[in-house]
Amino acid sequence: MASECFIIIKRRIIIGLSLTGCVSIFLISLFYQTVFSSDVLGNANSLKAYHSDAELSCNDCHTVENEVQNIPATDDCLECHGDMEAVAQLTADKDPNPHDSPHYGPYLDCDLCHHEHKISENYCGGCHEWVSSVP
Amino acid sequence: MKDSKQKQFSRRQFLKATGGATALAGVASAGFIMAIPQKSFAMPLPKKWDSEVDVLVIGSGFAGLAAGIEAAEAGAVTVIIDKMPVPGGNSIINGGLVSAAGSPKQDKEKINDSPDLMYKDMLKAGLGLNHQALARVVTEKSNEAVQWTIKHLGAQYKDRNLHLGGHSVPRSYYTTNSSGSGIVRPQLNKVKDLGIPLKLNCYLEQVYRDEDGRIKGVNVREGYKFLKEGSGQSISIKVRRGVVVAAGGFANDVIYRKIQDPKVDDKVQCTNHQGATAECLKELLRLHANPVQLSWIQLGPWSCPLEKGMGIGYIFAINAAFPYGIMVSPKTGKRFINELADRKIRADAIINTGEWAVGIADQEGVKRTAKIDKMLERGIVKKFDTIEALAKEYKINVAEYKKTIFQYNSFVKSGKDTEWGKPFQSDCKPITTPPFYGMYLWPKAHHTMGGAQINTKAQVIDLNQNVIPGLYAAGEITGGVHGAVRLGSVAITDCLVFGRIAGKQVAGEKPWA
Ligand SMILES: Cc1cc2nc3c(=O)[nH]c(=O)nc-3n(C[C@H](O)[C@H](O)[C@H](O)COP(=O)(O)OP(=O)(O)OC[C@H]3O[C@@H](n4cnc5c(N)ncnc54)[C@H](O)[C@@H]3O)c2cc1C
Repeated sequence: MASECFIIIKRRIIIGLSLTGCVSIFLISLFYQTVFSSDVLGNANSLKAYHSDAELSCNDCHTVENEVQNIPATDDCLECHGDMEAVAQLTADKDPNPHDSPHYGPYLDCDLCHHEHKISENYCGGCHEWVSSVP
Repeated sequence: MKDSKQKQFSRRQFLKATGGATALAGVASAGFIMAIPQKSFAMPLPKKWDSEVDVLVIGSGFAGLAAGIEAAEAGAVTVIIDKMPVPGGNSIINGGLVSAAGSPKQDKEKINDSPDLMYKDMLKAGLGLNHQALARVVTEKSNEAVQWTIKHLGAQYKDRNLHLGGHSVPRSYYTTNSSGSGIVRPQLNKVKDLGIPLKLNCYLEQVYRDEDGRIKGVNVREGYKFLKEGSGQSISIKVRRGVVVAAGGFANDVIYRKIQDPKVDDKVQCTNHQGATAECLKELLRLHANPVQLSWIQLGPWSCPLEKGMGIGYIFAINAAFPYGIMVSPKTGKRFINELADRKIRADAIINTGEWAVGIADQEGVKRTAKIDKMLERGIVKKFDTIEALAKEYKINVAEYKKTIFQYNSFVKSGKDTEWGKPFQSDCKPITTPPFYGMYLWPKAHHTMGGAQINTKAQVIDLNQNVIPGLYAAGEITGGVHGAVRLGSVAITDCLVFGRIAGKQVAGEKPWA
């Protein structure tokens, strides 16, 4: 019960403050990380090289439009990366093509494997032993 | 009947007069209506539901999607949920083999088959434990279900019928992409076309069965993260017509499966998706669904111990080594079972040899085996110029093994396997054409035959053999269709047939509110 209240309060605070920019998000995340060791916000100050090289800032992904809790969803990723079929084309030379599964096709959420603020993982690895390093 | 009502009555009176008040206060403060359930399955209903549907389907595999499609097409406001971040459960990673008795493909190949013959095959493998009426429905509607996937959903199949173990004739359709996704993805497209919401990361926590015995709604966790207990937000959904539980089997629930069959412990590998766990079955049991034959857990005899999960090696076993080749035990160099016997017979036989078996086929045998290059590349299947080289790699007793092949080839030529009784397909040839292919075989946990009892309308049956109003189940979570042993390719048929029945039936339920 109590923890549910916190989630709601936390969500309101975050949505309210996101407009005032990254600094407050960072501070709040720091606060919640210490208090609740939240992995929703994770290590919010680190960016993967390919995103920092592209000079992205926090609000490029964490926008007011994000459907849930300012967390970017697959659609937000696709704003820059094109549609899923196009993403699959980018790795068409790989076998197996990590973006075009025989089971799910290209229609899997990006964050099943790719994480921005923590180490990425290989979702296929749950059932298959072939490993591919996930950026 | 009257008696038990009286008992309830007096219990209620008793509660009123005694400690009931304290309990009432507790319930009221949690925001529920002021009634204390008397039946152990009953839960106080939420005062206010967060949302409302006609039909709620749990699980997005063959069975759940078939149910959702039928319910929505019959006009019911339907929602499908799945706890995983991906749709399709075991179905979308499945091998894509589905049996149909009396199909147009069989007509074309002049194969004489009938629902009755399929029924006999199922009962033979099932050791007669099959619930006969259910097995009848599956066989009688098998062809209709497969044709539905083609005509209504646009699924595509290869030209030939496959002859799988335990079936007396070739009767298995095989999806063009060699995967269950060849059926699930067309199902998902249909779900999308029909505008049925499919909510992933949505975990069924609890089903509300009211004091009057009827199912009234559910609690789910939205935004659930797989394996993170308590993640996401708890939401109540009022379900006006009924709930279809199509949450699949529990072969990947090591604790629960080991209780049912201690031999299938944590040392046994598993072919299933990670979400094949027992919580929905346990919830059904809490609602007083009758459990059927939970300890019949099937091991797949065609799996390769050198790869994780189902992998791809099974494709070599079922397409080449078993129908067109042989399986030997390295120590003896001999065959030890009919390679096309049912799964239980073969899996037990392999385990009884005490060592990994070796499946063998020649170039003729692998002609129709998809992905052979991939298996070779990953070292799962190995290729040799001579049978001696193959024997050396797998440390097979060469002298005996040569005799085995010589004898087997004479069986093929005569058309009769007088040693193990394997039925030969018409295009079966002696093992003589190099190169030769080999693969290790060791069984893995694959399918849970047991589950909740249903009737031929897919209604869940309670401990006293009464229907639980508003509760339906279909697919691997149910028990009885397959008895002790499920034949290959009959699971899809079962899921499609009973999923469709459940969807049609639930849509016709009278709404309780
Ligand atoms: C690798 C493999 C290959 C196979 N090949 C074949 C084959 O070729 N032919 C054949 O006939 N059979 C085959 N089978 C068996 C067959 O695939 C399964 O029996 C069938 O897919 C079961 O379908 P289902 O709809 O009952 O369940 P599933 O497809 O498993 O779907 C159940 C869904 O319910 C969800 N769920 C579970 N619990 C909850 C919860 N608490 N809340 C919300 N959602 C929940 C799961 O996440 C899952 O997505 C194979 C099985 C495997 C594992």
